[in-house]
Amino acid sequence: MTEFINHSDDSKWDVAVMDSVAGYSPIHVEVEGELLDLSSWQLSPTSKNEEIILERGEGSERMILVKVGDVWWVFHDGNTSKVSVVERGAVNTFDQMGGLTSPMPGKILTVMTSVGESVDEGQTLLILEAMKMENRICSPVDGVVSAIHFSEGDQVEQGTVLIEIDSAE
Amino acid sequence: MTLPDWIASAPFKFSKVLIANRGEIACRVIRGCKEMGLATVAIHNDADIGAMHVELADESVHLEGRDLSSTYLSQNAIINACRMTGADALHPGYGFLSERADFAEFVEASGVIWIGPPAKAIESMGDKIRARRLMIDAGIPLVPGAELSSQDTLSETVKELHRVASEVGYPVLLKASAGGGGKGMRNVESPGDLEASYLAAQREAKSAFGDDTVYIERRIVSPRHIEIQILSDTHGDAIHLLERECSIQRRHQKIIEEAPSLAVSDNLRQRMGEAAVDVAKAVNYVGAGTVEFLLSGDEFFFLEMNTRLQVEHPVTELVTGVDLVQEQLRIASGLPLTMTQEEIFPRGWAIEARIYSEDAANGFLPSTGPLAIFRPPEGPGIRFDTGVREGDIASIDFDPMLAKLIVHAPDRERAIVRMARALEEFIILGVTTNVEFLRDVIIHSQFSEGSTTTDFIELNWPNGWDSDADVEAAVVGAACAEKAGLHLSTATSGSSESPDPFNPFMTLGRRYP
Repeated sequence: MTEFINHSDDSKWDVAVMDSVAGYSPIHVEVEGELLDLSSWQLSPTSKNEEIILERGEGSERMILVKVGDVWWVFHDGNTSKVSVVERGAVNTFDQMGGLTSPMPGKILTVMTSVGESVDEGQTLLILEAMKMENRICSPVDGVVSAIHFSEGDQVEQGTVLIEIDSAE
Repeated sequence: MTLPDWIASAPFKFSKVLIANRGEIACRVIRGCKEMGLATVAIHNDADIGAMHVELADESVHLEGRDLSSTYLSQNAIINACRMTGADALHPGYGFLSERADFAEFVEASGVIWIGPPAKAIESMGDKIRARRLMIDAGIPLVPGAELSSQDTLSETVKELHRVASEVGYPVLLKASAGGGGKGMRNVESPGDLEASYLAAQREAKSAFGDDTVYIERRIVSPRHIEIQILSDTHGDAIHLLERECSIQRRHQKIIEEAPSLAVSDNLRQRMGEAAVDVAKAVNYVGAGTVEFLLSGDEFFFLEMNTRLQVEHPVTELVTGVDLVQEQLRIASGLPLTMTQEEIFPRGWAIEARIYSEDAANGFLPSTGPLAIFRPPEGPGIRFDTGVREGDIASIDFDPMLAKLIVHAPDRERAIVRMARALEEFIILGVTTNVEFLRDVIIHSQFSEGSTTTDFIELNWPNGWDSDADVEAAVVGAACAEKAGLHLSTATSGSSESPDPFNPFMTLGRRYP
């Protein structure tokens, strides 16, 4: 069983795949604790390293997949999805409470709050400059700022925790 | 270097063109020069070693450094590159130094032919206040607006700001006086938001253009953005090459453009075309340029003139059959225009979609990453202009536009179907792009009906856009790929760190053109 996170809705999946002569078959698929029966699906790799053919009764569907870091990028039916592989026992970064992460690499232009300040949902906390554009980082909740990890002028990477907020609830 | 035949009898001869740009526009210009028999010189900085425009050019000069100010924006370094390589003409592309009058002057003073409009014309149009005055004199209709410079104190500036804004009338748009491209632009609905938006616009203007003057104008609600392409030669002739509609925008930047426009009747086309030619003549314009208008009903207002080649120039090229880069080269050599106004008429319909590395589901924030798989669509009626290849990295060093996908078909309906098909085929893995969002715009009933106004995206996706990917299939596919150990050897680094240009994994997977 391997755990996955789908990036578009942050849903958590547990999937077990059976290996047979005909290819692969998902024998256990669980999303957010709910079981799905997809055992009739057949998936087969092709001679191309990045291609899988999915068969589920409506003809063959082609998928193109490539792994970058821990993320599988999947192209299927004109759409692209990102699916992370979660290592067993590892801390799931999506579960960390109250941490506001940088949506992209950039420079902190202005910090508009301070530790201990009460903030409202939607309030601008800091301004991040990237690609010569200013982007407002806003509070997702009502709460109190418990930590600010950067100051004005600092460069930050994508995904870095910038500010922590203790939710008022 | 021998001169190509076409230029042998021209007043201003040149044989080797330095392209002071990068990415897709550098590639576009290099290709135009090659087809005209001219030698080409690229420039590149540390982040662009091995980039596509460097490969395409006959030679390239490495401008050391990673920041723009000491490389693509360094006038001295670029002129030195001309001297080193013997380039006797320079094409600035768009962005960077293309609309800097002082650079145009410096290039000419260095004995290098500037493939662009005269410095004076750039200056007149770059200074929005002066441009407005010139337009009023030329009888061109304008949107109400005014320029605001910093006063001695902040409180005086704020007072002046409120006075000017109420004079212009809400809602207002704030934008950098010195620039374009949506940088520093803010929409303000009421006086309460004015001060904060002004300060942000001023900061962005300062950091993007080195000039913090802000321009305030009335926002015309739900207008269309219509622009007219013009060409003027050194003999005083000017023609227009029909309109482009660029109403579909996000963050005030265009993402879909088309030519011609459903909103422009033959009569309106003639009126707008004549107005655009008058604008060009008012500033003694030479070369290719674009006059932008806001269209509301059949009333149009002059917005600005872009004194350069536009990103969206290919739709005009497909519809008129005129190669704008080649015309720029001929005009710079002092030759007259090769066509008359009567020879310009629309042939079918063209649509361009700008492919950005950005997350449409997350407020269109720029995204970075490797182009681990990059397979553009092919087939009938497709033109693809890009400066990247599979294996390259979308980094924060440059603008997030990866490519332009342009389609041409006999009519708008068939152009839409063709664009939807092309976007469906387009595979980019490793960096998040707007391809699916563009497809959803193109197949939207409001788009096919032609209800394209500049607030199209806010109106049709008021709560943001989401992908309708088949999540089950994607997760199960990933699980099987994980189990099977599928991998691609190229560009498996997921970080946005600077790529190591000498890393063999980054170069081996490349398909050189």
